[in-house]
Amino acid sequence: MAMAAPGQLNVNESPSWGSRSVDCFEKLEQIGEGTYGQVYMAREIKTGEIVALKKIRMDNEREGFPITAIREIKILKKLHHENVINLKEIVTSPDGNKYKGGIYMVFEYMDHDLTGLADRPGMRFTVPQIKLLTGLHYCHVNQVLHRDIKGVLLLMPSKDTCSNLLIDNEGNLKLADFGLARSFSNEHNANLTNRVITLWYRPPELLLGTTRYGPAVDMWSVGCIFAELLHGKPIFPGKDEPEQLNKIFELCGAPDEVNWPGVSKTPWYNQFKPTRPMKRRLREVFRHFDRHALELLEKMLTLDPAQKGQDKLWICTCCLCRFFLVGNMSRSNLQANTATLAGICIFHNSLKHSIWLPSADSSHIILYAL
Amino acid sequence: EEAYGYNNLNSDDDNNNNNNSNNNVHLDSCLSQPRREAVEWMLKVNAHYGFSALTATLAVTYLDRFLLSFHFQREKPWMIQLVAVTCISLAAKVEETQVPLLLDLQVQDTKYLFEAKTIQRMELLVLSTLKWKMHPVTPLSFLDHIIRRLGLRTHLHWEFLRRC
Repeated sequence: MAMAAPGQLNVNESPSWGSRSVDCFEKLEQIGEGTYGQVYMAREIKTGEIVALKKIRMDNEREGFPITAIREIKILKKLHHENVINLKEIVTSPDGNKYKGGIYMVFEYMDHDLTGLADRPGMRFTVPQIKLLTGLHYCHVNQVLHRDIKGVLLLMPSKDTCSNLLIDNEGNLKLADFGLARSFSNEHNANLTNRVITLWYRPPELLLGTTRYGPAVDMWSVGCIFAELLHGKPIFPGKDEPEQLNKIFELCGAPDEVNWPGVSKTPWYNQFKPTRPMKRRLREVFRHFDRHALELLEKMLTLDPAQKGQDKLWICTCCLCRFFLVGNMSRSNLQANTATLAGICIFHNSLKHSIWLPSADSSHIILYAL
Repeated sequence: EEAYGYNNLNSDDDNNNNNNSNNNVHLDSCLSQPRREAVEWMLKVNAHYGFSALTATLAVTYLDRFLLSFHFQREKPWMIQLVAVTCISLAAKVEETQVPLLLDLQVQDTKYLFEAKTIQRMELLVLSTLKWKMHPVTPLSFLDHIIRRLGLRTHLHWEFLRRC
């Protein structure tokens, strides 16, 4: 297949000018299914490096190149961080029927996602660098909302529901799958779509139809994952949006103008508002959790997004990082280790504006003031 | 936090270079007329769908960067129209919440009508020519920062920003 030479525009020829061919890679096996295409493990022939190839599906001709892929590429080109997955390049497939779907995103290869890790008793995480949310913090500082953080730990180990928190064998954790991510601007308050985030991890403000939102949406998802890790199963497994809201209200209490000023003005409040009074039962339901873990959870699963101040949440998320640090990730040990974890993430007022990171040998915690 | 912001501004060097040489597009007499028509058409589509100012800026930037990389062929006058549809489509996908189908984008007296699959092919060509960099620094990137620094935060200022 001839390539269009620079300076000559001929759309009947291959539009791969400027990109390498996927033939530079040898596909080894399919390892998963992303938001919009398969993911393969592959080896770069020239260097022998193992990478992940994510195929961009191009089924919907009427829309052209998929918007999710455009958003993901745009955002990943902007983010460079050790806890955010690295997009190495885009390659095209050399077959003649190119516009039918031969575009691949090349990522660094990660060994695991969070799905099913808790199932493997022998799996030990002694390496310190599991900094779950420094990656997320980096995204927020760069005005990117991820909008699709999910855990799906124990119940759904199938390939197509994989978590988008990836972990390599050194214990490095990276945030991936930016198909639903987008940029936000602090003050613009532009209208954004509220149909984002996997239902179980979607915060109440989105379920109530808000289209002006910020980093707090990702924080709710983090809270759900944290509780899921301790609880052993997803905490809000709703079938549809009304049921999802109902599950949230049953645990977190019904929203009103006292605990969430402005809630009655959200677009779908009247449609979904609870018919009976509901108390916040978080502490009661999760009373078996460690006291400190519970306090952390209380803050992350606050109904009113405005009360989830970013600095407070960064403390929460850093504590979550500590949580991953506590060594063995097996299910039984998770709860046993909670006490250790919680001992680390003490909510001293004086420490509220700091970030805690593990030392290189994970023997102690270093405190960074913000 | 500031530091991250500045890093971003510096990261898209290629784009900046391209912006500097945009003058060539204006100087090249055989290009200037078709380019102007293409830009005017894209702005009409932008207004028709109520897309934001940033979307329009992105579309024009894509068009100019693409034209710089390819010699425009005078004997194919439809080509620049195809590029224009493609650029407005890509810009809308990058920036807008609601994006029309490829066929529906071709409004406001187009001389040619392109099939969706033709535009899709062109999207790939434009994207790879732009080296998949879709988020260049534009004048609008600075406006937001400047307005915030000057403390101009009234409704009027945002309304102005929205329209410019």
